[in-house]
Amino acid sequence: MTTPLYPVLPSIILSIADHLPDSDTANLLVTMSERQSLAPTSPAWLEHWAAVLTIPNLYTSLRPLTRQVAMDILKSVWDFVRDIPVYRRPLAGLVFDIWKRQASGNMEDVTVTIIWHILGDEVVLLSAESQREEAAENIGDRRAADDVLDFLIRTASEKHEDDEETVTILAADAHVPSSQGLAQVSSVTTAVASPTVSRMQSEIQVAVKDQQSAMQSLTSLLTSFTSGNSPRSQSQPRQDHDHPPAVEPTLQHTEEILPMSKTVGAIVGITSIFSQLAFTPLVLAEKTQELALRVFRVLVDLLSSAGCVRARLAVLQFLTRLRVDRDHRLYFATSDYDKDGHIHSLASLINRAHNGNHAGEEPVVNHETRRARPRVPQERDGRRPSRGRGGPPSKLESSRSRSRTTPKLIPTSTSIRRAKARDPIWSLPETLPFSLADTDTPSEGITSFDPTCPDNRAVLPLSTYLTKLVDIIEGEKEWEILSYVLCHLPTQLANKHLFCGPKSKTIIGRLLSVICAGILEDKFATNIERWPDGIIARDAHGLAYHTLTVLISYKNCFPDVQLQHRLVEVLLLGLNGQPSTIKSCLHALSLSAFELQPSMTKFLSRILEKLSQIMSNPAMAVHIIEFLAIVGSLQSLHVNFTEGDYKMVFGVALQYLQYHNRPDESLPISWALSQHVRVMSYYIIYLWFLAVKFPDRPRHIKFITRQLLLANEGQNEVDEPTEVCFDWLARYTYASADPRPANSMLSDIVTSRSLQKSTPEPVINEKTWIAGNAVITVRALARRGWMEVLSRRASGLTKFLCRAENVPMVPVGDVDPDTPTIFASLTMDRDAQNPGTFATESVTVSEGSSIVVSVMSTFSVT
Amino acid sequence: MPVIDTHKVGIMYVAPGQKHENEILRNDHGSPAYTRFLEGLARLINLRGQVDVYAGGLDPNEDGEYAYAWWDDIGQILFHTATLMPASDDEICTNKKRHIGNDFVRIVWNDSGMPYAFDTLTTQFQFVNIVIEPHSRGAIAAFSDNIHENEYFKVIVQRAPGMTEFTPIGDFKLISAETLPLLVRQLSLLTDWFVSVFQHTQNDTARVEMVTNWRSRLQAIKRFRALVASDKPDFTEEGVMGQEYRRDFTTAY
Repeated sequence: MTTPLYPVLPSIILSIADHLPDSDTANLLVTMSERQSLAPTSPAWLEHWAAVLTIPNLYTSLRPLTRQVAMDILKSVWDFVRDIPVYRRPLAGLVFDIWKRQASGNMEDVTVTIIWHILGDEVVLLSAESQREEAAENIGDRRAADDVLDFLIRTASEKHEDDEETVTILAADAHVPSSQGLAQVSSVTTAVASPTVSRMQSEIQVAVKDQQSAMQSLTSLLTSFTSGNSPRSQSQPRQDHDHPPAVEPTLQHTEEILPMSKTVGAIVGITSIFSQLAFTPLVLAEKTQELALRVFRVLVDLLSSAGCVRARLAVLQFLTRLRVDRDHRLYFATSDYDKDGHIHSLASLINRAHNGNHAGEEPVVNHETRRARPRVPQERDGRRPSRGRGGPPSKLESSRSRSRTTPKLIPTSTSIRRAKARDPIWSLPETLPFSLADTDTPSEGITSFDPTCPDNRAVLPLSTYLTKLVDIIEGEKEWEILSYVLCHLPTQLANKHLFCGPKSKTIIGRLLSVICAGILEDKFATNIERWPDGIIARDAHGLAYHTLTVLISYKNCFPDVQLQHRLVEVLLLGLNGQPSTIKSCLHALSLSAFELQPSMTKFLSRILEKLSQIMSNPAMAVHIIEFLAIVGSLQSLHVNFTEGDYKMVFGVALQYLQYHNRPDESLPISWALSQHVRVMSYYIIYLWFLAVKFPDRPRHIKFITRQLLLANEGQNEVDEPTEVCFDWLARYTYASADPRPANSMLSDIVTSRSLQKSTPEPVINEKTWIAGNAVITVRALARRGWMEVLSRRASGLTKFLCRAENVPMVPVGDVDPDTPTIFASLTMDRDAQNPGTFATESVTVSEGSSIVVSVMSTFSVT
Repeated sequence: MPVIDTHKVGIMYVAPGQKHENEILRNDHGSPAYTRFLEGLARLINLRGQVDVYAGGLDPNEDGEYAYAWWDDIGQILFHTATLMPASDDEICTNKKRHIGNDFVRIVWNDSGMPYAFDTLTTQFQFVNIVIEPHSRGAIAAFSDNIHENEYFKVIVQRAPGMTEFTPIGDFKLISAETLPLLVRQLSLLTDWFVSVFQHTQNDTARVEMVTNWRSRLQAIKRFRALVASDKPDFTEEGVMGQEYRRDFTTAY
């Protein structure tokens, strides 16, 4: 039996591990694991672990394979002992001790995440156990848990002076293989994920090749020792142990290797603690809730105090994904955290989103790009060409098309990185540094707001988190952080239940005033120290407008009307911005038209003035038109309009008619959209003309006529929609008659068949004339003295019921009173509250002779 | 020919947990918030004997006596409300789908707690869905009438592929329950216009002009005039007899 011998060999090999190549130590671990010497079934397992975890250089780039294997085994062992405190505690203690000492080397990779998870688990389990056992040792447990937590916090907040250096170096490394010279966008595409990975892969593959022979030799040595010994697997409850992950030196594992600093690791541990406390049944215990709230506060603090940017980003990545459901129960959103694609579209505005797979977005981009190319309005976007990138839509397109067409790895020598600009740390789609269990499950015990019984459930102090965000928006120096907040905040704010509490309401108010002040005084995002390529403060403004848009729906948090005025004023200011900003501002203003009516009324004429200035951009047409349609539909917004204000609206719509009446190839928007704008422009004219008060209507005709004709310039005849428009204007200038007659009681009686004793048909005689584009029919009705005049026109059908006063008299002495109609007209009179309008319809009959039919009729003003 | 622009828009209510079209169409009522929304959206009209309002193809004998409609001087919208129509005996609610499935624009009140899939209703007319959802997740409480929960709603516009962005909604908007109906009414008007154009141009591929109702009326009148003008007799006689045609007023009046 060689049994007594073999446990010794690994110890010997481990003791000289420093002199062995990476692959050999990795193999050693595999073998040890097969022998169960790392599982609690082996009496010396802890010593083995101590030896393994202290292999020199285990956590540096010299031993990637060993590290990978060690961590995999550690994970499976940990999973096994998790529920057995007797084994778990010593192992956790050991890991903690070693990890505390392992101070060197700030950069690690994601493989060691397991260690952070173990520490996190330990905190959770210890605290859970301390509650369960009422024994004296629970104080010790709690203290141990606190120790680990403190260690995590300390690590997370450790300042790394060289942090920025490392990041830059790392990013620069990552850039070497990417096609740098082409464009910033393409480099962004490939910056974070693929080159890093591929570099690592190639490095490792090379290493593997070099050492293959050595590995073979050692493997044979080990197998010769072990052959003939059947593994003691029969007694093992878990299959994982029997088959620990074999060494797979190629793709599968190396794919995942991403650099991760220690601070980020600590964050991972802390987030793991929080999510386990909050989202598992543990949360039902009161103590756990307390601890969870404490950990949450820690996380919020780390938002500003964490050691490096990446760590702060990791905290943000966690916190921005917190949501609550209808019952205010907290959950961590993974699947639906960007359900509406808003984060993605914001991120793409600042070059942080790639391979967008959102349905329906591609064509949008196409249309907008078509627009952006031929007729870029230079007056507002003068900065674009000089900076060598298109406006947001086109850059989106270019980044996509490029990432699709060009292979990602074109080795070029132009890897000259500017030392100043930081390369993007985050971009969508993101890989989160932490992997959490129980995501998307609402917490049983933690809520964002509890209006009823604050005793039962713990209320998360989200106002503290919001306060931190306000601080970031107010004075953040790091673009990575600020941009992340700006892209994710609108979506998180849209989860309104997250910020229901009274404290949050105050902070929301502060958030609004901070953003407004920042934009109005032009100091928003001025603290940013280093901007990436092609991004300037104005892009940050553009993002901030989206937050403002969501804040409109928080109007209850702004009791001060001045603040609401301010919001609208800032939105008005945004109309000076770049196209994407204008668009979001127009959307926000459309929403404000419903939600913030007092403020909108105040600023509406200024907004209209601005619109008439910026309307020349064809891509904005549809948004401007729809804004006008919405405002036009809300009577209260424009009750105080002056003639000039109305004229401005007509001017905008009529101007669009000039553009879209005969769209040519040069028009950079799609045909359907152009037709839509045309139809809607007429709609705007009609809608707003109806809003003008009667006495003022004729005064607008001159202007409208001229503009309509201008829009038809170059043709012999006005086109049909214009004809319709003139027709409509003629009908509505002096009176508003419904486009078609409604059957009145009077007409029922006059034409009713039962009263016509003589003839079965109510109509005796009818004649029709064509007058211009109107068809006029006069019908003599069977009822004596009554006739019907119908005017059929393009835009409506008008019907008059008239009575000739000079009816032929009946023979002397006979009376033939028209009693039913008299009663009918009396009845009608009774409910006519307002005096009827005197309407004149003048019709010019063609064919030489002309008659003027003047019809007096009473119909109420609608 | 209609003297007004007519629009028809479908409305569906998706109850908690539903995601299949048959279940959704079979719903005959919605949550309190949904009902309030309908009240604000349009006026309830009796379809029987209705001559003033465009009935959108609804037959009071089959599709229920009442419908929601809204109109002004320029246009009318008739809402094909799934919850208002009687469910027929067949599983798939043919009578409801016949109308709603043919609408260009559908308003979907999504209380399902899940994202509403764009093509939930299988039909050839997949253009625009205006989806109204609670802003926070969770379906269990959909029927509770809690003011705090129903204060604001999220509006999303789902568009068919190939359609440009044309609504003021963007990715989403939050709007108060109070003004929600007004917004949605405007939105359905705007979207129905656009979708008509979109459909008319064969999904933005054909360059044809959009002809509105009024314009086709004008064309009809023009055709009529051409018809009348063509059968006018020649009168070439000189002198006083040349006036014969004009003087004989019975030809004209």
